[in-house]
Amino acid sequence: MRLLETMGGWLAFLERGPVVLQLLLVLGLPMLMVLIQPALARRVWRRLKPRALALAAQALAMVLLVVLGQPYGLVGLGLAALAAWMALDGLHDVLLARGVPAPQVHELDTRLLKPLVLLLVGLGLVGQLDNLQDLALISLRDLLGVPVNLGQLASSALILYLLSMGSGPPATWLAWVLQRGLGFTDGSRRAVALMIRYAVVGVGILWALDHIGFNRTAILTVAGGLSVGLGFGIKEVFSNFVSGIWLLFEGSVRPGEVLFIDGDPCEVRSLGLRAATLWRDRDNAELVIPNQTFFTATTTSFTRTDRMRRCQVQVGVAYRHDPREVVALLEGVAQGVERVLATPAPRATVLSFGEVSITYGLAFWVANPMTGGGVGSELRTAIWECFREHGIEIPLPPLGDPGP
Amino acid sequence: MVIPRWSVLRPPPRKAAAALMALALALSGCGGTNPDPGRLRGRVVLLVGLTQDDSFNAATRDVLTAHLDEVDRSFRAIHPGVSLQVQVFPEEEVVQEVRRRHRSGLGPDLLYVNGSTARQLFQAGLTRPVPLAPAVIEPLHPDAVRLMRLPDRRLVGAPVLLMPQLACFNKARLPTSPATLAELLALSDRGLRVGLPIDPVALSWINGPLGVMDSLVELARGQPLTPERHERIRSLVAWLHNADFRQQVSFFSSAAQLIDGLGRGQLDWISCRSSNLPLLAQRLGPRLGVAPLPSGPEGPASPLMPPRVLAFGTDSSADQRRAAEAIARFNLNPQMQSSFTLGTLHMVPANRLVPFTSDGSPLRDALVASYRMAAGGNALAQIVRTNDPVEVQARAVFNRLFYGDLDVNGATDALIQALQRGHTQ
Repeated sequence: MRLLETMGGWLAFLERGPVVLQLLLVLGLPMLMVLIQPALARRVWRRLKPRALALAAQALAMVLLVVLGQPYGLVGLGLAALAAWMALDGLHDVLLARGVPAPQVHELDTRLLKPLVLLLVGLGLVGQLDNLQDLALISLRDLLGVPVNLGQLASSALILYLLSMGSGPPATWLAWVLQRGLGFTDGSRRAVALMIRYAVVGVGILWALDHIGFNRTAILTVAGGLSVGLGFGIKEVFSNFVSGIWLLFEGSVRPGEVLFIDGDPCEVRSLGLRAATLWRDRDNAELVIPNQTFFTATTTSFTRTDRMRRCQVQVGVAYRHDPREVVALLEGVAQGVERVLATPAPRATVLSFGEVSITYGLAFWVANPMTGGGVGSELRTAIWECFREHGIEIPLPPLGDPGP
Repeated sequence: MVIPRWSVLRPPPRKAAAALMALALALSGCGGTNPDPGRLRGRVVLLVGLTQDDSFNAATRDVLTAHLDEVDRSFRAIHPGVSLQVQVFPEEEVVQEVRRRHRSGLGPDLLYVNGSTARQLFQAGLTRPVPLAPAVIEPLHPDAVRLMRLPDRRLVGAPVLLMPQLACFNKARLPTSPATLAELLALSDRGLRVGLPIDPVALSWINGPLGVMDSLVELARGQPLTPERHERIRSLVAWLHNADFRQQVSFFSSAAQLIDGLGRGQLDWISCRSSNLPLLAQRLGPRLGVAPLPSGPEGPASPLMPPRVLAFGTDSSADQRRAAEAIARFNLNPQMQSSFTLGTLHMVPANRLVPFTSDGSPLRDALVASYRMAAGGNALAQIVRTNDPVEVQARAVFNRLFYGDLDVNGATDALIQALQRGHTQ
């Protein structure tokens, strides 16, 4: 209630002409620049960007206000916000140019840096309208018998948000260091990074509870309430969370693993609190699969003990050719395809005698399980070229009797 | 996988621009104009400086808010169109915070601060002279008004409440406060831990008991040095040197250290201001004893009685200015001053028309006695103020005396030079 009254009281400043003038400049100038930029770009300079124009206009407005001895602080704040926003866009482009993966840059940009800039600008504005230290003392409703004030709640929420969003890069780095020291696999490194994040966020939650002043009885009460909730509404959520942690330790569904889902190899992109995200190469689709699915159903993995995948190509050859010659040719062709592993060696076998041809199978190994389809295609092309060169016939099925 | 940039996802910029332009124009209309200029209206931003460093907590805030809510309610009974928006800052941050807000045109309309802070604000161009009629100022305590008056007769703040200096002590260690300086030193010889300020202005309450006030004031006003004046000033320096020589008497550079020392039980007796009483009462509870400061062979103590004042901001709209002035007048009238005194219990009303007499409680007795002593006037405080060049030099002299860098004669000469130099500056 007091918070709402206080915020309503800030409108009192709108009675002041210089304040309104600054707000008009902060809000109006960038918008005006967006509106007139196309015309300016046509007539003056094609590469003129609306934001750069708005920045220049605000800087000019601020200088004018300073020279005229008028209040300028809000325009300065708007200018700083706009400049920070443009700097973040620049940083976004620089990171992409340096080869940082786009999803990571996007996550850093939208989940950490831009919210942080918005928060700082917001605090800067509120800090001018009121005393932040005083606002922090505003008492909110009691939570489980513990009086909570705005400052405690806001700082706890902020720390938790920063920990959950900002702990990614440090956790990845620490996991990388551990990988160098202990020599575990890339999948394990990703799992360790995720576990470090969970641990950091967990410590953050405990800190937040302590910061707010919850006592043990209150936490036990919450735990009791949660246990009832687990039995009803949030059973699935909790089940998925526990499954996710278990899978991480087990190592079967870790980021980077390749699993067979509905007949297609899919790469695990992330293992979240509720679900795993997998990427399917065939159609660039992302599959979001609840963690407990992997926990309760059979999972086919190509990366459990090693990353090699064994694939097979079948081909029919006319009866008049010697099978030993065909087998030798097929194995030779496979050895000539770059992405087919030399060891284990490709192996051709006679699979069956059909109506018009003998069916041969050519088994081969690839290093990356996601590339099985592509290498198979390369191999079929090479077989066709080799058979044409050696006069080996791939017979067509007989046409049906056209009838009288 | 391609991640879309935010700029691809945002709404069409032209439409957003037009919407925000409309919002900006709407904001410009929020203030509006007063259809009835004779009727007060608007929200007045009142900035309150909290006087203790460590008192910025929810409890202090709630007490203050309750008191100000009462003022707000009473005022709205007469002027329903006006309300108060209260901002609270530690006193030592007030000047920088007002300066920061003033740069944005967001400075307060009204400030309730210490007299010294009001002077700093005015000197920094952050407040305007008190716009109240002489009839409103005339009943206020003349010493407090004089403290707030500039050489050109303008006032930098209107005194609302006064905070006389007192003796604060721990009743668990000392049942009653010593009545004289000699008793104070004698008790310290028997183990009473005494704390005194180094600040020459805060320490000037001993000038009365030692009979040195007139000599200091005359020198500070440019009067010549006579053997008698020299001897008087030497007696002050000698008393300080003698006190410092005692094991249990300590001098502290800030009032906060004194308050903290008594609150933590590290000191037993200190000179304090009435504004410190809520915090000390919070720390010591019923063990807190309050008494007038001790007298001496030459007369009673000469305590300071610094005022809490209302100052007027420079960023207000016309409506806010009128409302702020009305609130100030309202708070200075005898009825409100009387309820202030009842409400705060540790302050003295600045309006002399309000009877301020004893009600039988030890606290009120001590306040009334200190008020009467202070009403006699601390003439030095009218000339030398905290952080003035003279005060800074005098403080340096005292520091050198306490650290043994100057003997009594050397310190006396240095203090005289500081006073004389202050007059010529």
